Amino acid sequence: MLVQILAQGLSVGAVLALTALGLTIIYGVMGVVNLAHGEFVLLGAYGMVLLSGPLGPWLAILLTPLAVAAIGLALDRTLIRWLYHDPVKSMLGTFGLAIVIRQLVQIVEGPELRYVGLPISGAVPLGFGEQFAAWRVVLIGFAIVTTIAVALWLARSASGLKLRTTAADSEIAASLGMNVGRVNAVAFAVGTGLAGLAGALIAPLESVYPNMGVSYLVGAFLVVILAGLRNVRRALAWAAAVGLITAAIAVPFNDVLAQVVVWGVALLIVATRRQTLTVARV
Amino acid sequence: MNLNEPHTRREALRRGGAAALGMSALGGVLSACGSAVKSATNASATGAGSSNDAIKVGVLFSLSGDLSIAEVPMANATQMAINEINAQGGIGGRHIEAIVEDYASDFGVVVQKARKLVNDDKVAAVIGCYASASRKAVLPVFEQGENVLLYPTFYEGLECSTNVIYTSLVANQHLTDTTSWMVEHAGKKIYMVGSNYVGPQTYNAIVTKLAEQKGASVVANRFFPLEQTDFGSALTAIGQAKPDLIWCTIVGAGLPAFYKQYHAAGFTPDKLPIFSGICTEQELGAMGGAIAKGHYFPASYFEKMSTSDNSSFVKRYKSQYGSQEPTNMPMQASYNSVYLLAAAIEKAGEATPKAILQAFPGVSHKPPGLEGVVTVQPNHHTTHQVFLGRANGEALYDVIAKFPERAPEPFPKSIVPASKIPSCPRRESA
Repeated sequence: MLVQILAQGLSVGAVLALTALGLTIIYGVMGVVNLAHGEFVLLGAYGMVLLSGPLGPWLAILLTPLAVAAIGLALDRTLIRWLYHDPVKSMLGTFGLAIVIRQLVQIVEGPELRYVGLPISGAVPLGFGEQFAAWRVVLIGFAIVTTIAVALWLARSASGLKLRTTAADSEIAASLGMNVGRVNAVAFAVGTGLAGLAGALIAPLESVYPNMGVSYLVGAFLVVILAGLRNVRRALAWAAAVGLITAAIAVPFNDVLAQVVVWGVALLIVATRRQTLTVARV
Repeated sequence: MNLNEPHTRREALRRGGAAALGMSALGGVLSACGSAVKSATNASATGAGSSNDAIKVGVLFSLSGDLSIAEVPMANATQMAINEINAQGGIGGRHIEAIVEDYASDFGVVVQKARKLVNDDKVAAVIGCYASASRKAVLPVFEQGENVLLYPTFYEGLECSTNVIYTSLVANQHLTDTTSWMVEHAGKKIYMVGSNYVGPQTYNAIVTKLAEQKGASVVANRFFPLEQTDFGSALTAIGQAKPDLIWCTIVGAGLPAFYKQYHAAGFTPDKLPIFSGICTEQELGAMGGAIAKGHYFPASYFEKMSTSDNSSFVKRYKSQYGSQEPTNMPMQASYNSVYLLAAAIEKAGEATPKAILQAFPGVSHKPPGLEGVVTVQPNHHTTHQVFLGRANGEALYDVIAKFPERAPEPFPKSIVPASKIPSCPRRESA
């Protein structure tokens, strides 16, 4: 049972990590509170609905995040750039964007629940006589590889350094000759692409429909606030922690209690901390 | 100004509804915007074409928002029956004028729309509502306005309003024979899951009592928040508990997700079948035949029922609303509601709500798919026969068992003590 709780916790944490990582990068670099983040998860899920048929599920999982990132890039250049470094304006703008995306999806694809087949079904043995859904193992694997890759890219690569510099102070970065506009566009594309990957990975386990994104925004937001808004490593750690706490309570007891405890803990931590959402610059 | 004012009022109403039902805040705003536009066009369309001769009937479903997935087909089936009756000359020579209102999955908007239909349009009756919360919300409108609501879907009971005719199954009809069959054929160790509100809770409580009377034991009864769609933790616990069957009253988007995650976790229906109190053909479509196959659902109607009138009904529906659209129990009940209403108006001899209500007990009609008729009882519920369906690879139910006709007991003896059973019908709102 312990091994299964661990696996289930990681599976919940994996989705939280992918979505929270994107939200953290977007807020950290541009000061944009992206309330449309759940809708990029939605676009990822619909990407699977549309692509997994003609391309097969595996190619679809690789291409969907790129397609969502491309949409993110286009939106950044046309819309999001006007909302930089103004949390309130960005919340209003992205809240509106979220409504537009949901309605467009509903107009184009209809309101009904859509179906995505499982690329691999059945359970895999975990040892100790336990087993676990094979697709969740794949999901956890994708999330670990992707989040480590993004974290390394931020920490080690030249473009990651530019991104961190812009996050620290975009005006200084610009005065040093950096193309801040391009850095911002890359950050938004990476952030939304990660949400798209989360959407593609959960689509085979979920009902895909136009309003599905909202709950992913809520989960990602919880993690980002717990992690202190701009810290990538803490966001990943909190994603894992929230997933594990949820599973540790939900498996032996129930999901309602798990939610009560997770949100209760979050409330305590946020209430006793000095920094709040409105303190944007560090 | 025209757009702003109702928007803010709806928004305030929505907040009440959202808090009670855990509907998403963002979705609620969306629905409210959509409904403002739609109702405006509806009003002008019906206003222009009304005639004094026609019998006005309200059609009140969610044509937008989360619940539209289930309710649009019910509205379609209602409209189809109205068109058919009109094509055959109407009721006693008078045509039915459908006044269609979209309540946008919003339990505040539904009250406004019901008020419009009852107080402004002065309809003879309304066919509509789906979630129990929507029916509860409009009860005072119909009781105080002395109008008639035909409620066309299966529900948990514990209600018998003087102004509502419940045209589909109530819990005792839906669950009694099903529970006996389930315990006899699938096993005595039951694991229960459901969405956390009154309908699933009542259903699970009734099944628990009935199953225990049959010597079965309920090892767990887990409820989930309405918006939850990840059931990994529960499925892990189910794997540990090793039950013989799962009784499932999860509703909405979570329902297909539960079946998919069950399948992904390596469970198979030959060892651990799911019996759902909720999952019609429509939800099966959203999970696909491969995942649906082998699971059970009791209903008074299935698309695959082999009567000739049903194949004609299914064909007519698909030709009008899309060949991929399944038919299901709430749709058939919505369709039948129009015919029951027509029969009541004919019996009453006039189309006033008061005369219709008086005429209803004893009125009957044979809906598509059945050999017998559905008859309105003095307690405002209807007689029904229940069948057990097992899903096949085409995401439809094959009928595998047929239970005897059962009288409706809105306050079932299994969970309501004899002294607490009221006389029906009664006024439900203060």
